[in-house]
Amino acid sequence: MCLAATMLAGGAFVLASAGVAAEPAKDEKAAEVGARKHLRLLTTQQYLNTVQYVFGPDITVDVKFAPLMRTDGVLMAATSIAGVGDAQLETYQKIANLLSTQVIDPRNRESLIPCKPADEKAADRECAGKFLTRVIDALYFVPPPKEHIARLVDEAGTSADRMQNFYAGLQVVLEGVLLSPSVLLVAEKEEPDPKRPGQMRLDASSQAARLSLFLWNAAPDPALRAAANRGDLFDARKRSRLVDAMLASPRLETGVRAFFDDMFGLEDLETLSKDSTVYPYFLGGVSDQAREQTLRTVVDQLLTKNGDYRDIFTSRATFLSPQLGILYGVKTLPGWNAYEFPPEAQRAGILTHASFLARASHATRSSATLRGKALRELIMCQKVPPPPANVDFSAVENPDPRLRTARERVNQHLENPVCAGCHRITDPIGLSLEKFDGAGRYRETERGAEIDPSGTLDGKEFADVVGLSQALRDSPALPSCLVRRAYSYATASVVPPSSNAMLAQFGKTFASDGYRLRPLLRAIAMDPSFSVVSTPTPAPEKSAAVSQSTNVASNN
Amino acid sequence: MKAHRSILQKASLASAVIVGFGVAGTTAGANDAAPPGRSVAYAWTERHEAVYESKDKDGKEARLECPNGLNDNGIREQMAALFPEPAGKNYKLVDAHLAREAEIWFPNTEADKFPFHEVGGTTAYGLNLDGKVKPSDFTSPDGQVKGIDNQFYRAVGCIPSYREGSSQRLFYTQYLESRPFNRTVMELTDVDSLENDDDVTVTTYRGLHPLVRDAQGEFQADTTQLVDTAWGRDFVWASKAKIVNGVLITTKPNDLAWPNENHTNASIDRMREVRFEMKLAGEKIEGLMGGYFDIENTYHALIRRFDSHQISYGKLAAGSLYKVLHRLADGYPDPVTGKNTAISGALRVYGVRVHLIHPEKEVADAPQTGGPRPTQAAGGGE
Amino acid sequence: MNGFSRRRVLRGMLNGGAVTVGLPLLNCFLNGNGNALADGKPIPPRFALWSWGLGHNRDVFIPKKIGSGFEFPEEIESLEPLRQHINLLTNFTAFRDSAGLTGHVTGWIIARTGAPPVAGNNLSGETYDIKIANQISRAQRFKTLTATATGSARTSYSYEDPNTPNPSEYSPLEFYTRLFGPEFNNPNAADFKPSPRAMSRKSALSAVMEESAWLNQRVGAEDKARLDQYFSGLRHLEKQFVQQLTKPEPIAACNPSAAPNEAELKMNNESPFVVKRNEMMSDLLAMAIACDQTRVVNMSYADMSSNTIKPGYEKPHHTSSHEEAVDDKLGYQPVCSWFVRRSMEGLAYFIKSFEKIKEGDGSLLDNMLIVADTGDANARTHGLLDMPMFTAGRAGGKLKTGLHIDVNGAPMSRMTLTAMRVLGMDVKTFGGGSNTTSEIISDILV
Repeated sequence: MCLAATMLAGGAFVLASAGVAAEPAKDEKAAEVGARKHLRLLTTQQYLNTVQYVFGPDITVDVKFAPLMRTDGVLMAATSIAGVGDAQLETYQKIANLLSTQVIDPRNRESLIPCKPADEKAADRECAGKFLTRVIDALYFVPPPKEHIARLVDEAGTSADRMQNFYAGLQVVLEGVLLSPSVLLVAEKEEPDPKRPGQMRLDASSQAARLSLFLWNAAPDPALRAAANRGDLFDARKRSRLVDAMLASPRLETGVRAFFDDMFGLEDLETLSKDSTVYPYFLGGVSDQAREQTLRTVVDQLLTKNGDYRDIFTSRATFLSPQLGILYGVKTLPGWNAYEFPPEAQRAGILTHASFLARASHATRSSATLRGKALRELIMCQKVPPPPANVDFSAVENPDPRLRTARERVNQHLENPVCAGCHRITDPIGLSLEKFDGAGRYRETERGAEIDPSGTLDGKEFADVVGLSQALRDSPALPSCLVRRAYSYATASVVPPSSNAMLAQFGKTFASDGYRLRPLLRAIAMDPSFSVVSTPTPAPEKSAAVSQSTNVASNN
Repeated sequence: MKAHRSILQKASLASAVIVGFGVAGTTAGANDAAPPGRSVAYAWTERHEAVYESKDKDGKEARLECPNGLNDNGIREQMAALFPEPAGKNYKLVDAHLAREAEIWFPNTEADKFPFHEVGGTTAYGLNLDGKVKPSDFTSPDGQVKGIDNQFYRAVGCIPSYREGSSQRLFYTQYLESRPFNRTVMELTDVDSLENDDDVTVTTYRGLHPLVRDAQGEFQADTTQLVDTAWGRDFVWASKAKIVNGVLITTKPNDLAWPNENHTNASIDRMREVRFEMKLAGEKIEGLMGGYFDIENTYHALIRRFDSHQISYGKLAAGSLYKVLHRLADGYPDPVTGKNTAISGALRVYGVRVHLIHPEKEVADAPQTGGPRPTQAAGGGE
Repeated sequence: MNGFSRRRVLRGMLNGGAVTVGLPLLNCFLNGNGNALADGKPIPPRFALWSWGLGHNRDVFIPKKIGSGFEFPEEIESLEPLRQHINLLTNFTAFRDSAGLTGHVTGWIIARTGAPPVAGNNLSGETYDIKIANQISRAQRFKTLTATATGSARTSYSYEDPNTPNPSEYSPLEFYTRLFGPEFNNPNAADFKPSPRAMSRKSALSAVMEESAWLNQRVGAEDKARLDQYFSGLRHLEKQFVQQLTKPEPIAACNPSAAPNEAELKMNNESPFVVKRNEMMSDLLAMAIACDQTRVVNMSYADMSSNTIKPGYEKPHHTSSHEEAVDDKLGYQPVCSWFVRRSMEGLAYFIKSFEKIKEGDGSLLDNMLIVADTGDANARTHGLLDMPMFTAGRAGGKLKTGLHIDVNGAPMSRMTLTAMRVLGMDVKTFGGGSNTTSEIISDILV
């Protein structure tokens, strides 16, 4: 096998992609930054992916867990810090109740319960045991003691007798299992690392969970857990084979969609609304489709075509639904269809998708500032500071009616020294997107005045949005931001400044792999820092944020 | 209620008027510029009989056209008069309800037992079909068009079912939208100007896709319709036409069939010597479609569309209507009996602009995913 | 909104993440007015929805005067004796956006879910009474109760999810049996029998909680607090079961009468029977709340496409709405108005059935929020502009009453959001499409 996954003692080598020789990457110190061990909450989608992998996609609910707070640029990092209040438990209980009721429903029990009770009106501990053992094995990310399974089976029996109904007894226990902290939480555990005396690593099941949540957006399935428990993840060659198998699985698409949904802030589209008097063509449901358009485009370019990450910002190839066709002024057939914008169109890259344009706009108008800010923060990992407390908003909130275009209005920002510092970071790039209105539809004019879409990005000048997309594609911040977000997402952690050298190294590998996604995911999944446990460094989040905002300021 | 409706809907209502003929949203250009690909298409959003209703100076219904008042002998009223139910009186189903039902399905032209109020005015919407000005003809409300042939209006104009706000008209509008069977599109090709062009081609087709409403509830322009080439061939109709000051006038009268599925059942409506006069207004189109209704077909389509229950909503008695249609018939005499078999009439038609895909032209060479061919200016160009 | 802007929200930073923890409901509802139950227990939030079909005849329904002291036009005159208990809100809009208009369906879907229907006539989610019930009534014996006066279980405008309507109680006698029959734990009775299912759910939950034994060993000190939070949440759920399994405290207001006599009731839509069933159901629902069997109830007087029959008149309400001529002198459809007047009398009875029950210092009505809605404004044209709604009760002192408010075309979801906030829910926005709102109707809040 020519897989270059050679894990040396001490983990001093970064592992590159298949077929490329491993190169010495970092010194011991860099490897030690690692990630901390976490108690992670499953996201709604992770929970459903996990449960549906066991019971099938028909067992479902349309209920969402409490929203997460974007932490250092990614939602996933918040799963390691978010609390769970009583109301959240009530949500879990509601979901568990609905799901378990569906499982034991006469329509489903035939296929989902592997046996039939001797008497439906009484307990059958053998059948209940068969079912619950399988379910717990598939759902609990660490196997519980045998006595605990016995305890739950017994509970199902007692309940069945009490209610004189085998399935009712099974349902109450399944409901309990489905809201168990062993299913909804992933408690990572450390153990001494035999290869680095005195240091700690994540134990086998924690590593399996981390890999699976990262690549598949679901808790590990029994096969992966079994492999982990055999020690395969500690064996470089076997780990490499496992990771490759995960990257080759169709479940990778689920994982990649979840990652980019997180990175590009697409969850905002769930609640996005537009003023229908201003944007009557922003039809109900179109924001969900805009989200889907971007995710399909990303998956197509990065997985199906195995393309360069940077090209998603310039590519004219995408997928459209009829409702998006209305917004974009394009003929469309029902369903999703591949579409390529013609060369003369101003739509190139995901900045020109409604998922970006409409998301970073107000309900009644476009916003150069919001778009510039979203581009800086989500895509380039730069921090735009909030407005200072003493700012006078009257000029922008009650704009002079004679100022017709956004450019004329936001010049207010740039003339006022209090505003100019930050708005110089956002507005010149946002203004080049002004040819798209607040719903994302193309326009030539605003209130009768021609729109000038020229702008600059970090010193590079361009005439229109196609130029902006090209400038962005060529910006070094673009791939380095993806690396940062992917690592943070993979480890559900805020990346401390001490990890910058390690990220830079991932960046180099990413570049040498032609900015293709799979090798990057592989490099992260194989990297020792993914699996070792570091000692926490104090208050990493704050210093990270500060250093990033300084970064931007110095760029301008 | 009216007041805030107009405010709420200002965006789309205004666009029809103010935007004028610019192919708004997708292509800039003056009214007299050729549309992209020299073609433009519209899907019908509303279609009903053209019925002129006089108003008084306050804009309220004046009903001058109905000197004897509106018809009040609907199917229910006729039933009640024929079969009064004094205490204890019972009829056999076969003598009462079924007999009446049979009269609807096997109508006759004998004199009506019930009084019928027809239009007595001289004003109507419609087209001058025969080029003559006859005593029975109407004049348009603005006095501009004389010799209007619309004897159908004379028959139905005083039946509440055919007037503004009736349930029947509500159903027409609702089902034109909600039943895919009814989707009708009109395409103009060889267009060099939407303002004045003396030679364009007009073709109607059945479309296959739903009408879409925008977030304000108005019909959304520029959605895509696929032409139904499999089951819609019977509905293809073509004519040469000219555009004069933004009004499309077809020049080759020609028989037209159109799908009309409604409350109860589906029917195919037919009109002879059809011609259109339609005002082109940016995203919208509106105007008249005139010709001769084939009476037998028109009648049977009506009673298939609505059962007696719906028909009774607007004091309509189908059997009485049959008689009056034959009495006022003014076209297509039967070669044997010499009696007219058709009646002049007009429909008011409204449409919204759509993209049209001709499967035989465009889908065959589309990308493998089945998507439309990356398309001409209107498509990708914005 | 004073009552709730004072409601404290603890914002704790936990490992850098903000965690929002609402205070327990009970504290939340202790207000400064000493408005508590006679035995000193705080008053829980309770909610009732009542619907009628086919809207109104504008000119004889909507008062000219705005604010307090408004007149009661003839169609709503039966509500005048309740003036100090109710508000009338007019001129709501049900925005259907791109959804088609299906007569008598689109309107109520928007009214009850806050969003236009999707894919034809499907609801986009549960109806809002269920959202409320999930919050304030989950621990009760019945999360929610749904009843109708039409005699048909299908008349339900309460949906757990788009595919699951809560079937309506249509027989007063059967409903009485379900409520106050053998399974009823009369809080004022001597004996008590706990529910086997609640017992089993509690027991299963306790078994799952034993998992703390090994999960605790897996987490470090910093994550211990979060894991503890999870287990304390599980204990909260357990406590809810305990409550269901515990003999209830006596409730003075809980005094179910004898089973209703429905022998002379025909299960059809003739108006006199609808009137009678509305009365019986109203009394049962009010008593179910008084006995704390549920905190959310839902009553429909008629289908949204009201099929109520006026004896001696050949067309039911719905057919009349399309066929009956507008009377030139009156300016409205007289028979349709007759039907609306009966509906308003029904609403008056419903409200009175809560007023009749004494609770705390006042009546049960004082501590309720009742909302009455309909699926059309102008039934003839299936109009969705000019939609009316009523509220009744003061929600334990949080609502002003006696007002006529013109909401000026606002979405109906604004009333829904107001109701949710009044009932203590921490909801920032509600509705879908153009009905999305984060505004409340502050004019009716104390």
